[in-house]
Amino acid sequence: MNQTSPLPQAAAESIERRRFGRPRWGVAAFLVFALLVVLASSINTPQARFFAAERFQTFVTIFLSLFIEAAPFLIAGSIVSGFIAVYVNQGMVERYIPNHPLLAALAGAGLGFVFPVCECGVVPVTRRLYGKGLPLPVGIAFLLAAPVINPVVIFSTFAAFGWGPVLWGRVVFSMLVAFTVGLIFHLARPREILLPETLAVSSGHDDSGDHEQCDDHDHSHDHDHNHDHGGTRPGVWQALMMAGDDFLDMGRYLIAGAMLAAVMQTVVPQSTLLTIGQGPIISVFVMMALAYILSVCSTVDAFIALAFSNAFTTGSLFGFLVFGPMVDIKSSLLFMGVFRRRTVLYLILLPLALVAVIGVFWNVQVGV
Amino acid sequence: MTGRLARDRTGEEVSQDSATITGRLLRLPKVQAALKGLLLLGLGIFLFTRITSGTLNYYISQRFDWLTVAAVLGLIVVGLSYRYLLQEAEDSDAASDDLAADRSGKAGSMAEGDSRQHSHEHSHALGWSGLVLISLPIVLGLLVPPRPLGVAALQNREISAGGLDSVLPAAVGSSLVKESSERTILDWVLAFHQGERPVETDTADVVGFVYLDDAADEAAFTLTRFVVGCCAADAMAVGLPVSLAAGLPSEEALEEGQWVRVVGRFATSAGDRIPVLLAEQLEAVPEPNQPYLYP
Repeated sequence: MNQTSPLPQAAAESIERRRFGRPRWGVAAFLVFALLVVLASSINTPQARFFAAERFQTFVTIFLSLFIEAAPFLIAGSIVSGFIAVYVNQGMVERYIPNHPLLAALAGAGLGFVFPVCECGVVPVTRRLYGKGLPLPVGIAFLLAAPVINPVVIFSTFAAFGWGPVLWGRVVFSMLVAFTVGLIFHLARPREILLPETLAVSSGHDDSGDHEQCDDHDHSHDHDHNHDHGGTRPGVWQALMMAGDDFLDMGRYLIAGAMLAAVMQTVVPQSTLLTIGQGPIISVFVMMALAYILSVCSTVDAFIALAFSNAFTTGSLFGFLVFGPMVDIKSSLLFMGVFRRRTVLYLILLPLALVAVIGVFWNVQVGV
Repeated sequence: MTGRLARDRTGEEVSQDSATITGRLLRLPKVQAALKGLLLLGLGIFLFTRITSGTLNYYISQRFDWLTVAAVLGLIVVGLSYRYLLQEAEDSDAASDDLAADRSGKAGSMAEGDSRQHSHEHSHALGWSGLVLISLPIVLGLLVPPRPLGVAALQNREISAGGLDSVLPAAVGSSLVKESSERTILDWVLAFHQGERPVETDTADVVGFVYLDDAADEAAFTLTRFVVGCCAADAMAVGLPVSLAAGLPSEEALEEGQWVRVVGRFATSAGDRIPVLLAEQLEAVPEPNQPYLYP
């Protein structure tokens, strides 16, 4: 009896895996493990128990602070995404996005001004736009650039640093990196890059699929197209419901990322990273690592960079302010809901390499 | 041997069946719609309770309070939208009852129906792990009483000195204009980093929590506050070394983490070090409503 008891569990897990196609259980198990590590740092003496409990409380505070800070931006991004799903159709995307790969990548990098979303919000919007037939390089450039190239983030960076090299450098380098990576992905085929679910977001799916079809048949009247939809669900509610699906889809990655960042912040000494970070090369990598680990939203990360601006080189600040919004723990987990695993790796490594080159070059050649 | 194998297999089949039953229950359109709607409403209500209980600023800066209000509204509206789906699911449930009864008769067609249903909603289906993850903020928020960052958070942080000068140019300007008795710990630390030296007439009147470790030799403790730019994740500790005048409770009587108000003057100090604050009055105070300082 005892021997057979682990078997059903394993079988149940394998069924889950087959069903989902993605081992979310792995992520969940890791998080539970990380939780236990924090909880049980050392539970021998009463004093240690006190600190373990206090540490756990610190962990919870930081975790919830990241979640509460990011939730408004994620729900906003999801609502934008839901409305795009209902009210934007494939024809509109094709009409406004240029065909030439150079222009398309450039358009993607500037698209953030049309859809002002931060790094949590950009992922559901990108996924939705891919479902609407957005070309691959445009989406990649949008994904990487939009967290910086949008009015809110530019404003917060201005508030922190004023008009200076940090603000301009952040904007220009973000566009440059996003444009370059987008162009590289021009060589790839969507099916090799995107998860099947991403491609299926619109086609054949109950909620948005019929919308596109009925749009194709009759794109003259928005009214008709709303009434067409089963009658019971008005377009606005439809959009909101899809926003809810997106929020829940992306929210689990946000929560996993926030937990990871909170564990790091509770366990790893802050000084460990900072003491290494003075050289022109190493400081860039240290700040990129910090940006990756902290996973702070791009709308507010300028203020954190400001806290380091005296101890660190300007090049390393670019590492933090350009690389951080593109890729961090949270967003790379979010990426996994859109792209294939190998693509996620490229999406981390390409910006990493480009930003590292820019940061080191700035430190060595410009040195301001 | 063969008998055992067969038994194992039947055991597995039974478990497989039960897994599919719970799994299918979870994946019923009605259950999915209800769960999603409730989760979103739950998150919205959870955030709302943090606003009404006044603990929101344990997590984020005051400047972003309005964003949380917006998030509550957004989550509730989005959560409510699922009632349309719930309605539809109920309608279609009633319609497909005969179909389901027919289906359960034949195993083959059942599997087919199952897979069809799966492909229909796989991209948005909420599984057990998703359910657990999404409800984690609510669960942790309810199990662990809300606390601002305190002494435990200093275990892997230093009371920061470098890099503070530029926390916000505006903050530096305003701290220099403030009356000395109105300055916070952050204002004093910024002023000293700007090169200002204490004057005889300066009286400090500051509130913070007691941190006993790492205090300088001549100080009894460090009066500490966290400075938060946007949320607790970017918190930075600032502190003033405090020594106690005769007649005040001794170092041993102080409890780590206790919030206190200190009134006193700064000793003149050599070099760049932050001068020691000589406490003339020391009183325990309740934790302030705004435990953090904002640049």
